[in-house]
Amino acid sequence: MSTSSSSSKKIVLKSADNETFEIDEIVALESQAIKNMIEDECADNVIPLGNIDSKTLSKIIEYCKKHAESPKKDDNADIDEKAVEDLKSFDAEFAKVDMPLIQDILMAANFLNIDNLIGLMCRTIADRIKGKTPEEIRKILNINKNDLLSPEQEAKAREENSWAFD
Amino acid sequence: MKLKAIASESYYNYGYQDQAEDRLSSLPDALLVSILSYIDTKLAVQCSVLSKRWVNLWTLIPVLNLNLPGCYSGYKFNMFFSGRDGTLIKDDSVNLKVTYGPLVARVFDYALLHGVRNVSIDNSGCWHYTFPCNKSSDLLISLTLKGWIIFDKCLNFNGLVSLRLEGVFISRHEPFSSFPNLEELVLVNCQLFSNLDDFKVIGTQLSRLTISLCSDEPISYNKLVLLTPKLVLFDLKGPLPFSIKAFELPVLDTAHIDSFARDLVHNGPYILQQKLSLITVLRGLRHAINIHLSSSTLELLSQSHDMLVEEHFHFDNLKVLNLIPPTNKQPAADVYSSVAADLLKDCPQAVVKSLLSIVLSKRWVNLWPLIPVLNLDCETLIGQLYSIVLSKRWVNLWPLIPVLNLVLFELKGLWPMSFKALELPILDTVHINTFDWELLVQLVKLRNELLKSTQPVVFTLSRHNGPFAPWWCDDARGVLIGITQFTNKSHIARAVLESMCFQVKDLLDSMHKDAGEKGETKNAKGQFLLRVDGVATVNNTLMQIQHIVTETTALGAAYAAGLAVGVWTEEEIFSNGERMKKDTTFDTVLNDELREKKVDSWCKAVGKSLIWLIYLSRFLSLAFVVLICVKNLAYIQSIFVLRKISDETSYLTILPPKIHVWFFDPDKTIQAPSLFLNPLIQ
Repeated sequence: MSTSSSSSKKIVLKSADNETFEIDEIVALESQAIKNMIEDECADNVIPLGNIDSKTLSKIIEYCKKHAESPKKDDNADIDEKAVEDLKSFDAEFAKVDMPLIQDILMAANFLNIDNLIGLMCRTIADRIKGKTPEEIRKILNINKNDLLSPEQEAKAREENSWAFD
Repeated sequence: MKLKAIASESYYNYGYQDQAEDRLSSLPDALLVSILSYIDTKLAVQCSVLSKRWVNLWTLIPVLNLNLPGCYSGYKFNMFFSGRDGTLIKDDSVNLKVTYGPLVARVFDYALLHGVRNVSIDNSGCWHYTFPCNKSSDLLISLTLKGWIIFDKCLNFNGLVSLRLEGVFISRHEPFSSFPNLEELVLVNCQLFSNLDDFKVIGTQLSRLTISLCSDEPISYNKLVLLTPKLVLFDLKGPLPFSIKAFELPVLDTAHIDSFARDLVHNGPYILQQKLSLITVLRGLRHAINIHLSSSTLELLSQSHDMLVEEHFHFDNLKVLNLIPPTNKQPAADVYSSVAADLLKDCPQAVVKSLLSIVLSKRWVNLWPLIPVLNLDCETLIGQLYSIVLSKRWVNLWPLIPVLNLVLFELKGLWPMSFKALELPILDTVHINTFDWELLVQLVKLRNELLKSTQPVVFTLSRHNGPFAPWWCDDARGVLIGITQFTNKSHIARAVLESMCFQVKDLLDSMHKDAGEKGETKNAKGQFLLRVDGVATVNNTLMQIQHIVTETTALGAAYAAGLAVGVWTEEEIFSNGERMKKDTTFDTVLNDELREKKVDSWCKAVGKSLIWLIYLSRFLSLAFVVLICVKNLAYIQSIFVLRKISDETSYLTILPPKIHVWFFDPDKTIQAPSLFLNPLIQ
């Protein structure tokens, strides 16, 4: 009884650009932050997410929906294997976006406290900088140019860990 | 100047744009560190030159992924560790991939010193390296060794829970006793030094053991000794050791056996040895609950039928025997059935479970008709299951059957057992048509297992009394069967109410046949009105049920019968305005499909219990029959009339002792309430 009533319950999220998203509670529960809000019964009205724009938010909701739908472990092993496979390919597909969006999603996921998504985004970024030189990484990650090391500092850093720069 | 040039080049060539925002650097340390944890630590250190934000991040990485292919000069590398030593960070994992032995010792020392909990070392170099055996640590939880490493006896790792060895050379015959808390041990392609004859796995806490050998070398150990009293999961892959000595494995839950024997065609001494070993292994699994046998194991077993005949496996707890079909070809059904029959000949309780697991795994759906062993003793049941295994959609439906139809069933030893194992969670009705008294006794014994539902439903209550009744049987008036321990007064009362309604429905149907539609009263919506009257009609539940089963709209009093045979005219009935005011209308709450199902099962039950009662009456000295005489609808107060059929009647305790049942005798007046206390007398 309780499951049917809670699954039909809706949560409304509002992005920074004032777009509202209505999602099932079960989807919203993927986010630890929202889950806490629901448990504290502060989620009756619209939840404003002032630092997440609608593009990022819709992407995150897409992810949460998929993960909320997919069966959890301890089910029939047959089904489980397939579902895990399915989820993996979804994740791989999901991560195929440009770097600014990945960073946005990572920030938002960090804010909403969605562990799986944080892990996925960190892995994605890690995969993209694998085997690259520092200069390339700077470009990929769009490192703030005002924050660069001075040549002396950089030389010092390279010297200290020269084994890594062979 | 050169460095400056690099910096400025990167500055311009890579097209920094002012408007692009560096969002990543604004993230908390923990996130950036977790990104760095996924990459090679060397690269992570290189990231220190990215910007000021990144300078010291690498010192915080909890996971070290070191891939050190060559000989690193000790001095330079020491700098790395000293850099980290300054920052008192708690390391979580060290993943090391080296080709240079001494480095392992260096890093392993570092890991132990810093209380690292997970260490994985992959030595894919070309010379053997003896794993440091003079260390001890209580903090290490998980250790993975891979590659050309010689695993000697270690000093105590008291906290070690999980150990995985891949392709490692083991130089002692009982290397694991120094890990008192080891719970999971995985050995993949490990080799024993050739001078070792036997190999012992000793672990008082060990619960999961996997031994997997895929090497081409046929035998790498001769004797395997397991001293693992808490083993729950046992996974054995590859060529079987010549001899296995397993001490009691009392809590073993699941065992996977995949004998990796090749060359089955050459029935040489090696294969013979493997067959013997397999039988030894199976003997050791006598407490297992689930046993999974791979297709190659089955093939081996199928060739050792003559040995299996003499063998008696007493699988005490076995519930599921999973015979995994080969992936690449259609399995030969008779092979599987003969193997299953051989293995399970001494443990009948496992048969049906294994059958079920086969039904439920999708790959078996189409093979089902090929398996004769499953037709052991319960043809009808199997027949029913069989009809359900029509397509994938239907595979999982059959456990949901609420009604079990057992037609002309004969007791053949096994089936009540199989029944017990069926676990039909929502079973609420059993129709039995049998001439086998023993079956009934068995059924009563099994009733609790059969009806596990938390909302027990009295099987079927049928009445056959009264003139004009469609089911006329002058000596039998009703039967109450299938009462479980969960049944209470209200269930019985409900069953009585339902039976009354069903009987009215039967009467109406036969009237309908006689009179056609001319006697029907219809309301504005064109629905059939049944007018009911009498004391019983004060019971709203009764009226609602009546409505449900007859598809009518029931108004206060029952005149339909009278109208139909012309006793009254409509004017007489409806002229009394007072009466009309008190009317209550009951409206539909049940859909047609469900109603028809209920009516259908009623008819079936009545039909079958007719035969049943006739049969029972021949065995009066044993039988217990509840006769119910509801003389007419108005006489609802007397629900149960129980009559001893003979003085020697022994009461089966169909009713649990706590239930009060009112005794009535049709010839006398009401007697005191009585209890059934007599246990089953046999």
